[in-house]
This record gives sequence, C-alpha cells and structure tokens, in this order.
Amino acid sequence: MIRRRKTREFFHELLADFRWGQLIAVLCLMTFSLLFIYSATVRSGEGVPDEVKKQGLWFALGLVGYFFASLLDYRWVCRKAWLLYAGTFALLIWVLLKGKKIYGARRWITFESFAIQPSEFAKLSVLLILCWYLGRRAGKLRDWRSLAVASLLAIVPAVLIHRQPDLGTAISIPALLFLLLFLAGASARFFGILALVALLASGLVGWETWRYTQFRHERSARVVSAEARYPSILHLKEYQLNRILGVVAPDELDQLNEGWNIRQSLIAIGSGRFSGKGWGKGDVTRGGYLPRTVSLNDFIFAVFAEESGFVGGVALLALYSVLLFSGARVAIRAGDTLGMLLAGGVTFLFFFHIFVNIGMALGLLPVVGVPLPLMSYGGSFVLVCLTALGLIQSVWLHRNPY
Amino acid sequence: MPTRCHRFRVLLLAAAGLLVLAALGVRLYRLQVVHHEELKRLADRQIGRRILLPARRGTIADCNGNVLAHTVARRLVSVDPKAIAEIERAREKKKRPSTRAAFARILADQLALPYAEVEEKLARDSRYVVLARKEPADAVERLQAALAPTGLLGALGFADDPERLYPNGSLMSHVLGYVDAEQRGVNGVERVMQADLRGEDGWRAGETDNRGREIVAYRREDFPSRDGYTVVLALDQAVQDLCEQELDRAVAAYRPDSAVAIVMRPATGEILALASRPTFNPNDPDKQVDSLRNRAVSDLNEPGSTFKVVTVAAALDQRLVTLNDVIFCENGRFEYAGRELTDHQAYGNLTVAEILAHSVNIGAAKIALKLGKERMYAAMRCFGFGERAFGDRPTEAWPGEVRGIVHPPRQWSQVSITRVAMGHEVGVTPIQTIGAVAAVANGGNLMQPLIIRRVLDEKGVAVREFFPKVRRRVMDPRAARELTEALKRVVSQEGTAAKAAIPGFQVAGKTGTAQKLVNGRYVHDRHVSSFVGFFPAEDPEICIYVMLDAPKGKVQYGGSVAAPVFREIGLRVASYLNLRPTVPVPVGAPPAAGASLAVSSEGDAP
Repeated sequence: MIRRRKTREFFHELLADFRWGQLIAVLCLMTFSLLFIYSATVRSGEGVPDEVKKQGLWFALGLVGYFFASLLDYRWVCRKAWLLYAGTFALLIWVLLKGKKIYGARRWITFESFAIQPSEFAKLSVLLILCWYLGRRAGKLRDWRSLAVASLLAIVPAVLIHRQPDLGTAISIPALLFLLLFLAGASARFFGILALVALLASGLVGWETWRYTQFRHERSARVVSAEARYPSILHLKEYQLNRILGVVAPDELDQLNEGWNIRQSLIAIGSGRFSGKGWGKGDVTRGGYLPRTVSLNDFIFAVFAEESGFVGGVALLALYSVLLFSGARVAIRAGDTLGMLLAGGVTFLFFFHIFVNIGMALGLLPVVGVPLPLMSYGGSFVLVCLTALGLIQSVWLHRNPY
Repeated sequence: MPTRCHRFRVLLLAAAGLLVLAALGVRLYRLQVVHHEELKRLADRQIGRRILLPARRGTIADCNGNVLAHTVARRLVSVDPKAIAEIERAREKKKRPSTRAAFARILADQLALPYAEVEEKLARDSRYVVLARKEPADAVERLQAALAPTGLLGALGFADDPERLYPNGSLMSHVLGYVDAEQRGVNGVERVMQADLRGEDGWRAGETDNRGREIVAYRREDFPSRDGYTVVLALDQAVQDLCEQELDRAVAAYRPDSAVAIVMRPATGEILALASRPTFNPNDPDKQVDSLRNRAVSDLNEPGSTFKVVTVAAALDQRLVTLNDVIFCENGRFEYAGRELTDHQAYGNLTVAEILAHSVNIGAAKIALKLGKERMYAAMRCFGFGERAFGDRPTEAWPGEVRGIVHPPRQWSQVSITRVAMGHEVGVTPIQTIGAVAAVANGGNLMQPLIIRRVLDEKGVAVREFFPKVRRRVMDPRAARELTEALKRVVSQEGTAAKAAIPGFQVAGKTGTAQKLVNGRYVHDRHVSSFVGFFPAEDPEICIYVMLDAPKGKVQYGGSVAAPVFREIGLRVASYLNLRPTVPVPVGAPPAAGASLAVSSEGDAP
C-alpha cells in the first residue's frame, strides 16, 4: 500500500517536474517532419507515401523509447552502457561484412522492408560508455592513460563507421569525444595540443584541396588524361574533395554534375523568400530538381525552407534552440558529473547534427551525410534522437539522488 | 556534483552554440531575403512557369485545295536512365522483382529499335536520352499501355515532336521549301509565309518537374493556341506534275547541269508550275546546297537570244523601227568598235521580224545601236532586269531571289551595246525572263509573279488575299501586238523554234542559246539553251519558260533542246486547262508526247 502511494507520488512529481517545453518542441518537430517528408515524396494521384507512414511509425516507437528512457535512472543506464556498446560494436562489424550496400556504402541491416543503421546507434552507445567512463574520472583527467582509453573507446567505432563509409557519422564521434573530455575537465594543455593538431589537419586538407584544384585544371586542359584520378596524399576521394570545393570555391565545380545538389538546395531555399511558397508548393524540391533521394533526408531543410520561407527557417532554429538550451540547462543543473556529461553530450550531438546539416544545406559546410534531428527521414536516427532526449529528461527527473 | 568549472564550460559552449545558430539564421536571411531575386530567377528558369501549348503548323494547298504540305502530331520519346536506376533501387528495397529487362524489351518492340540499342541508352549515365522521334501519337499510347505494368513508365518522357509531311515528295519542292528541326520555314513558301503558317503557340501557367513534365496540381491559367493558317497557292499540282515530268524527261535525255521550267498565266502573273533541277525531297532535305537552290530565282545566266525580245520591244515601243523595216545584216560579219560580231549564217537585208525569227545577232545589235546606250539600259531595267521580280520588301521578297546583273551604261565598253542586245553581258534569272515575255504577251504590263493566292483560317475564311499586281507598264499595247506577231514567226517553219509549235494553237516565243562563260571566256561546247513562249498568241493564256543549262549532246540550240519541252508542256497544259484551239489541228497531229525529244542532229539557228 505504501509502495503504491509512493509510486503515485512519484508519478505526480514526475508530471510536475517533466520538462514539457522539450516535449512540445519535439512534437512540433515531428509534425514538421511528417508534413515536409510528405511534401518531398508525394506524387500527384498517389496517396500518403510509404516514407511518411514509416516515419510516423518510427516516431511512435521513438516516443515509447523517449518516455521509457526518461523514467529510467540514467545512472543505471550508464552502468549498463557496455552492453549496448558491445552490441553496437558487433552490429558495426556485421554491417561491414554482410550489410546491404546502397549508394556505394554498407550502412544498413535490413529486415523485410525496414533497415536499421548501426552507425546511428553507435553515436548513442559511444556517448553512454564515455559518460560512464569519464563520469567516474571527472576532475582527475590529468593522466594520459584515461585520455587514451576514452579516445580508444570512441575512435575504434568511428574507424569502423568510416570504413562503411559514412563520413558524417564518423566525424560526429570524435567531436563528441572532445566535447565530453572538455566537459569532464581535461586540461587546457590537452586542448591546446588538440587545437594545434586540428590546425595542422585543416592546413593539410587545405593544401590538398589546392593541389586538387590544380589537378582539375590540368585534367580539363588535358595535360593529364581525362580519366586520371587524383592521387590524394591524405587518401581523400575525389567526391570528398569536391564537397570541400563546393564550399570554398563552388565555381570550380561542374554545376550540372558535381555541385548539383548543393546548387539546387540554395535555389530552393533562396526562392522560398521571407514567407515561403506554401506547403506542397516548393517547386524546386517537388519538381525533383533537388533529387528525391536526398530531399527527404539530408536535404529536408531545403524542402522546409523553400516552402515555409525565412519565417519557417527561423521558427525551426528557435525550436531547436528550445531543445538545446533545455539540454544545457539540464546539464548545468544535473545531479552529478555523469548527468552533466550525459545531458551535455546529448545536447552537443543535437547541436552537431543541426549545425552540420543546416550549414550544408545553406552552402556553409561541405556536403556530408548528416541527418537533421527529428526532421530527416530515417528510423534509426529518430529512435536514437528520441531515446537520447529521454535520457536528458531522465537526468533532469533524477537529478536529486535518492 | 558538477563543479563551478563544469558549469562554466557548459555555459561557454552554450554561448558558442548560440552564436553558431545565429550565423545560420544570418545565412538564411541572406539567401532568402537578400539574394532572393536572383535565386528565384534561377528557380523560375528551370521550372518554366509557362507550359507551351504548341500550335500546329498550317497546311499548304494548291489552287484546287490539294494538300502539298501539312503537319501531323508526333511524339518524342525520351528516357531518364537515372530514374530507372532509382525506381529499381526502391523496388529492390521492397524485394520486388526487377522489370528492367521486360521494360527494355517492350521499348525495343514497340519502337522498332534494336534491343541492344535500347539497352545501351538505358544504361547511360544521363538524365535525358532520346529514344525515338516522330512517333505517331497512337503508337505512343500503345507503348504507354504496354509499359504500365512494368512500373517504369515514370522514367519515360514524352514531348510534342510535330512532323512536316510533303505527301507528293519532291513535287514542287523548290516552291514549297522545307522546315528545319524547329519547324521553322527555311525556304520557299514555308519561309515566306512563316508568320501565317506558324500560328500562335498557347501556354498554360503551370509548373514542370525536372523532366519537363507538367505538375498538373499546379495548373492555373490557359491561353489556347491557334493553329497555323492554310496557305493556298496559285500553283496547280497537276500542272506542276506534268511540267516536272516533261522537264525530267528532258533532263534524262540531255543531262544538263541544271534545268528550269516555269508555267505562268501572263494576264495575272500567277505561276501555275515552277520546277528546278536538280531537286530534293522536302520530307528529308539533304544538305546538298546545289539541290536545295531554286534556280528559277537564284541562278544567273546570260539569257542569249531570248533577250532580243527586250531589244526589239524597246525599239518598237519607241517607234524607232517597225516590223517591216529592213536592216542590213552585214552578211554575217559586223565590225563594230574594233571588234567583230558574227552570225552563224550570212544574212543580207532582213526585216525586223525576220531578224527575230532567225535570231540574227548583227540585226539585233544594229537595232540596239538605234536605241543607244541609255534607252537600251532603261528598257532592260523597265522590263524588270536587275531587280527582284518579287520585290525587295521583306513581306513579299522571295527567299534566295537575286537581282541579276545589269551594268549601268557608264560601265559599258564600246561593244557592250551590241552584246547586251543579244543577251550577253547581262545576268538574268528565269523568273525575270518569263516576266518580261509575259509582259509582251499581256499587252505591256509587267506583272509581279504570284505564287500565293490566299491565306485561310481554320474555318476556310480568307484572312488575306493576294491579287495580281502590275509592277509597271513596259510598252504600249500596239508595240506588244506587233512584237507578238514577230514572235509568232519564230515558231514557224522559217523560224528557229519550229519544234515549239503546239497543234491547235498559234505559239509565239523566242529561243535562246547562250554560250557559257568558262573561266572568263566564252566556250563553244557549252550553252544555256532556253525557250520562252506563250499561246494562244491572239489571246495568251499560258506562258512557259524552259531552260537547260549545259545540255550534253551535239546539238545544244534552244530551238532543238528547249523548244520541244515547251511544246510538250504546252500541249498537256492546254489539254488539262481545256483551252479552246484557235487554229485547226492538222491531220495526224499531235505527235505522241516526248517523240520529238530525241536528240536530233539537224541544225537550227540559234
């Protein structure tokens, strides 16, 4: 009896304490997502596209995961993180060996008509295991061994993902690692060295890009054979270098081929104007100028911005800000370092995806396949996002240790 | 518990994040508000808010309403190979069997293409590959029905691809002209009447996707198209046909470099037939410039003796001579200004009429001398030489028509007047020559050649009509009558063109045999042989011009090469038009058509 009363009280408290703002923002984003995936995929004379139905299903599943995760104590979740980590690790290896190859990348494990993407789950499991590992060592991150172990935990899955290849996800994991190290209190010296390395790396990539531009000129001038591939020192593929060129020197690219998607994305967004063309009236994206294969996932922002305009774009950024600042607030008010790391990590993952995806659609960043959280079509990422938000909720609800 | 240091770090990151989001917002503002106009233009350009509703090109008909050129709706079938790959991938995801092979097979069957070719096109790395052009609309419908079960129909694109058809093939090709790939008239009537034939394209405000297909949901406004008007010609398909048959027969017999035949009504200038050889098929205009050229308006030749008509006409009109005036023809050798002019035969005293009948060069030269440089030049210009018969105004000018070469007297040498008198040192076109002779026939009115009679709208109501137009009076009727009398004697046993005689009709005409200039020198084995004449001489109904450029064979005189062609055409035209014979038909005549075309070795006077 007492137990039951306690449970009721607990739920009462829970409801009172729940971060409703976060949930409302999530529901708004979901509605947008369904509306604009519909707009991107529907063809005249056909009913609701499969993609919309599937996304709806994933949202429903994700919401279950969201509430479930918010009820669970995040401390318990992090203690069990190694289970998830091991499972994801196995899936990553499996997908490399037996995965379904789509668009030249082995990223998917398919069941019937559903496909899951282990790399998306890897983001969450790496986050959890790092939180668990760093949470116990917070404030004591002076020894290089802890740094090395933490790095290894993150880098190995990242390398596996890079092999698929999936550059966007592979980059997100080291970024997450550095953020968590930062939050966990790694020394300024460490970040000094890191900044130096980053500077060196971007210098190298810059130099490589410049050499590649020279090579392209020679190839178009037939100094070298037209079929010649660029012999990259950093083992970057030409399409990857093209994506960098797409941001730093879009005019170098063949607009009809290499720079097509980004150009169409800019045209779609730019023609949307202040108030947008109206839902279902985005003729650039709906006409297939922005290819249908990308308009519903990586370039969903272009569809959204074309049809809802600057007003919609700002509204979307505002919704994401609600999520991000709610997450930051939870991180600051967390009950312990683990909670702070977890909330901060999830928030950062969201921020990373939002920034890279929208930055790419706006032509500010190279094209990398990073989905827009809760907007892009794709089940695995929806599940991961909602579960991760649930964990933030959990950090909030369980901030006072019993 | 997180320390203050931790919280500071979170706040630091939050601030950085806020900045980044603000940067995204700024970029969004720049794209959507600042650079909106230019990006919108780019979007509109590729989407094309107006969907063209193409007008169908009008029909060209002859004077009896027979269709000479018309346009049928055809479809162009294209494919988007990348879309096939996309659809196939989606199918693969859903574990549905591939239909690509069946799709290719049906395409190959329905479009009658080799399977390998279809496969190759479907495999290209492209967004647009043309599979077939000018496919009949019903065939395309069958194709669509056959392909529907494969689920790949969406990868095909269809567009209007009208086809211009000339049911008679090469008949009248030079008059009709042809159209280019964009269905614009390139030559002939197609070009002259482009504005009327084209019609007005309509449009529908709507939007198209990246394969140019209309997004029906966005359809907004309609502006219907108006099909092109029907253009009715003065030419008669039957006359054209018989004219071309006879010309072809002559071309086969004499193998000239080129040949022209024109049939005209002298009273109105209406052209009933116009044929030029070599010819081409407008359904498939080959790019051989030589065949496409309408030699009746574009080719210059020295007319030779037919030009004596102009010389004598001027002299008669100015009353400088009468037909019975006697002129001494110097026994075949005439020394003038240090140069010798010769005739093929030594003539002494001849009347003006006899000079024409025998086509005497020295006689013509002496008549021209009576006229003098200025009046000779004025007469040539008056008869329409050195100007375009159809005029210079862009609305009526005939494509490719040249002015010809008539030098002004100040550029003449001492002997020029004697050469011009017999049709040398001038460059004229067949249409100019027949126009000048038709003016003699109709009593002195130089008519504008009339090829297009009227323009009809879709209900058959005339939108525009073209009426016979007198360009100017070139001589008084008395002089014209006199000249006709003289020209009748050309087509008689004493004259040079006995072979032009048409049983039942009094024919008047003039032969021409001009030596050809090769590398600036006149040669003796290459001639331009021509005959121009009209009948019945008393009340001329038909004027015919025949020219063979460099006929092969021993005899190349106009009287023996061109005159028989004139006769055959004249005979058949008279019969077709039911002309009432004006003189009794001699017993035993007419001879079978073409019987007189055998190359004869008998000499006629040039």
